[in-house]
Amino acid sequence: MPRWLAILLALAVAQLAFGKEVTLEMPNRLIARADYQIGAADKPVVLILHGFLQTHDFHTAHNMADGLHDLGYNVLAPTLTLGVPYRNQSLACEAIHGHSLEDDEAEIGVWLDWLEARHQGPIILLGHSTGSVELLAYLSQHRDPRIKKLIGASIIEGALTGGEQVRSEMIADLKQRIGAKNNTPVSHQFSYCNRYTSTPKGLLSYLRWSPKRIIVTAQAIATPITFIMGGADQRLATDWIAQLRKTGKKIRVIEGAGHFLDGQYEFDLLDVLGEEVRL
Amino acid sequence: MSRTYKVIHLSIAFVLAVALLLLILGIQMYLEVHAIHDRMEREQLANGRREIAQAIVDVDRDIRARAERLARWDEVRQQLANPEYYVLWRDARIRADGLMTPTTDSIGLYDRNGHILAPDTGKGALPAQLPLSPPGYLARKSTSHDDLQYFFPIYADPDRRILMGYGALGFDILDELKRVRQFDFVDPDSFSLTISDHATVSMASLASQARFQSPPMRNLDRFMAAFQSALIRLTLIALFVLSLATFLIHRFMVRPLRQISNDINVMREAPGLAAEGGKSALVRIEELDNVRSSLRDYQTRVSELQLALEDSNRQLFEQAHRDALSGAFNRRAFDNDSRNLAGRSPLGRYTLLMFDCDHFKDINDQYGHAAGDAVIGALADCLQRALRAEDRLYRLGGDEFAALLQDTTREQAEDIVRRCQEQIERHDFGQYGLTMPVVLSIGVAQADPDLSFNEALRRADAAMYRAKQSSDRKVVFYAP
Repeated sequence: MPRWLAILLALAVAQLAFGKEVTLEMPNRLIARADYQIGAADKPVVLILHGFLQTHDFHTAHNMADGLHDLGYNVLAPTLTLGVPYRNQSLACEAIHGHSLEDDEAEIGVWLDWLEARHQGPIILLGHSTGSVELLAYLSQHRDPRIKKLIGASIIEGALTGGEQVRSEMIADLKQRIGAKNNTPVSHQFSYCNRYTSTPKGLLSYLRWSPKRIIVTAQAIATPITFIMGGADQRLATDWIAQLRKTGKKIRVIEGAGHFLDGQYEFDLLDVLGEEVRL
Repeated sequence: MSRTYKVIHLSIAFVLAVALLLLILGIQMYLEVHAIHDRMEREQLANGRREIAQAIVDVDRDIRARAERLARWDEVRQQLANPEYYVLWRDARIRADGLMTPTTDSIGLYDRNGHILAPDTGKGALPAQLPLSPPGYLARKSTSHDDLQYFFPIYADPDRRILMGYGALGFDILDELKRVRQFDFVDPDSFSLTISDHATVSMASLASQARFQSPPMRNLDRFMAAFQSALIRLTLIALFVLSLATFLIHRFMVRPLRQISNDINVMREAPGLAAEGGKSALVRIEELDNVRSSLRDYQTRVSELQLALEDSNRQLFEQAHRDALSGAFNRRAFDNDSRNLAGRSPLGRYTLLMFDCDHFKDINDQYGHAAGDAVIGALADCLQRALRAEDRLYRLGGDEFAALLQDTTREQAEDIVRRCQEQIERHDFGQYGLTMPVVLSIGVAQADPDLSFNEALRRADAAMYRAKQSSDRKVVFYAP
C-alpha cells in the first residue's frame, strides 16, 4: 500500500474515531448541530439529548457521549435549536423563549431519521434531566421499533417552587392567554430558572409535563426504560425516586451523585451506562 | 591717517555697545526659550496625535470584538431567525447581558435586506436602512457629541457562509476614547472630528480627522513665566549696572581725562599758568593724579627752561647790542634801530641827537686810555640820566654818541639837551685825573614824518660838526 494512502486512511479513521460535527436543517428551517461519533458497526447507536436549555457540549452529555463512544458505541449528541440556528451556547433563562417541547420532539425525530438512514442497528435514547422527559414525550408519540431502549438520567419535570398547585394555575392562565391569542411572552419561575420568559404556548408545552404525567407516560411505554438517578440530587423532590419506582421501570441509583452525575460519580455513571446500553 | 575721537564719544560708544550686546543676548535667550516652548508644543501635539491614533486602534479593536461577541451570541441569531419579540428582547436582554456599556448609545439588528428589525429612537438612533456595506463605520454628528455607528454582518454558521443579517453598535467616540485610554498629551474635552454627518469613516485615517488641544503644559508654562520674570529682572539689573558703570566711567575716567585735556590746553595757551584741575574731586585716581602731577612738573620745568632761555637770549642780545665800556647801545643796535625806523611808514615825529666829546684824543694821549675809558663811561652815565626812560642812547664809536628821541617836540628836545649839558657839567671828571674840562658837542636834527632817517642822521651829524667847530655854541639844532 502506498504510504500516502495509508496516511489518508489513518486520518479518515482518526476523524471517525474522534467524531465530527454534523448539521441538519430542522422543521423550523433552522440548522441544528450535533456531535456524531461513529463506533463499532455491531454496536447500537445512542442518541444523547442534553438537559433544559443546554447543548450537547454540556459536560454531563459530553461525558456520557465520550464514555459510550469509548466503549465502542455509535453516538449522536444533537443540540436542540430552541429557535437558534447553529446554536452552540446554553440559552439563558432570561432570553425570549419561543420554542416548545413539540418543536424539540420534531427535531428529535429529524435526528432519528437522519440516524436511521445511516445505521441499520438498534437505537438507544439517552437523555439527561429534562432531555429525558423530552425523549419520553417523543417515545409516547412515536412508535419506532428500532428504538430499543430509553435511558433517563436524572429525569425531572420542569419543577415549580410553588408546587403542583401552581402548575395547575399556570397552565390555566396560559391556556387562557392562548385562547385569547395573546402571544405576549410571560415570565415565571420554571425549572432551574428563577425567571423564565417564554411564549404562553412554549411554556405550556413544558409545563404540561408534570411529575404525574411522566410517571403515567413511562408506565404506558412498552419500550424498556431505565432511570439512572443521583442519590444526592438536590433538585429532585424527596419522593421522586420512589414515585419513579412505581412505574415498574428499572431504576439505577448512584449513591452520592448529584443532578449532573459528575465529579467522582462520572465513572459510576459510565459503569451503569455500559451495563444499560448492552442489549 | 587714523581719525581721532573724543573719550566721551568712545565711552558712550562702549556703553551703547555693551547695552546692545546685552539686548541681543536677552533677545537671543528669549527667542531660544520660545523656540524650545514651541518645539515642545509641537512634540506634545505629535504625541497627542499618536495617542489618539493608538486609542482609535484600541477602540476599533474593542468595537470589533464587541461586534464579534454580539454576532456570535445565540440570542442574536435567535432574533434574526424570528424577530417577533425583537423589541422586547432588545430592551430587556441587551442591557441585561452587559453589551450596552455606558459608552454605547445604541445596539440594533438588521435583516438580510438591510431593514432594521425595529425602529431605533433616542440618542444616536440607528438608521432604518443599512447605510453602508458592512463592515464599516458611519459618522453621526450632533451639536453635543460625535457618534460612530459600526455595522457588521451576522452569519448563522461558524464558517460565515450563511448571512443572517447585520448588527449595529452606536457609541460616542469621545467616551470610547476616554474609556480605552488615559490621555497624557490630549485634552479629551477638546476632541472633535472634522467629518460630516452620515459620512463613512475609515478608522485608519480617523486620527488625521481629529481636532484636539493638548493639555496645558503647566510645568513649562511656569518655567516660561519664571524665565520671563527672571529676564526682566536681569534686564533691569543690567540696565542699573550699565548706568552705574556709565556714571563711574564718566566720573572717574572721562571727566579726569577731559580735565587733563583742558589742563594741557590751558598750559599750551598759557605756559606760565599751572593747571590745578582734579584737586577738588571726592575720589581721585592715582594714575590720573600721577599724570596730572607729571604734566605740572613738566610745565614748571618747561617754564623754567623758557625763562632761562629768555634770560640767555636777553644776555646775548645785550652783549650783541650794548657797548661794554659805556653800557649804552652799540653801533649795531643803532644800525638795527635805524633800519627799523627807516622801514616804518610814516616814520613819525622824532629827534636825533649826535654827541661828540671835544679833544677826546688829547685826553687819551695825555691821561691814558684808562682815563679815556673812564671819561667815556662817565659821559654815557651822564647822558643816560639826562634822557627819558624810553629814549635810547648809542655809542657809535670812540667818543661819538647818538640818542633817538621818539615823538619829541623841539621844546622837549631842548630840555633834554640842556639836562645832558647839566649832567656833564655837574660830573666830576677830576676823579679820573683830568685837569682839563670835558665838553660835548651836540647836533640836533628834528625829523618830520616825510624825512628819511638817513637824511635825519646826516642833518644831526652836520649839526654836531657845526657845534664842534664852534667854541661857545656847543648845541646846534640843524637848520637848512
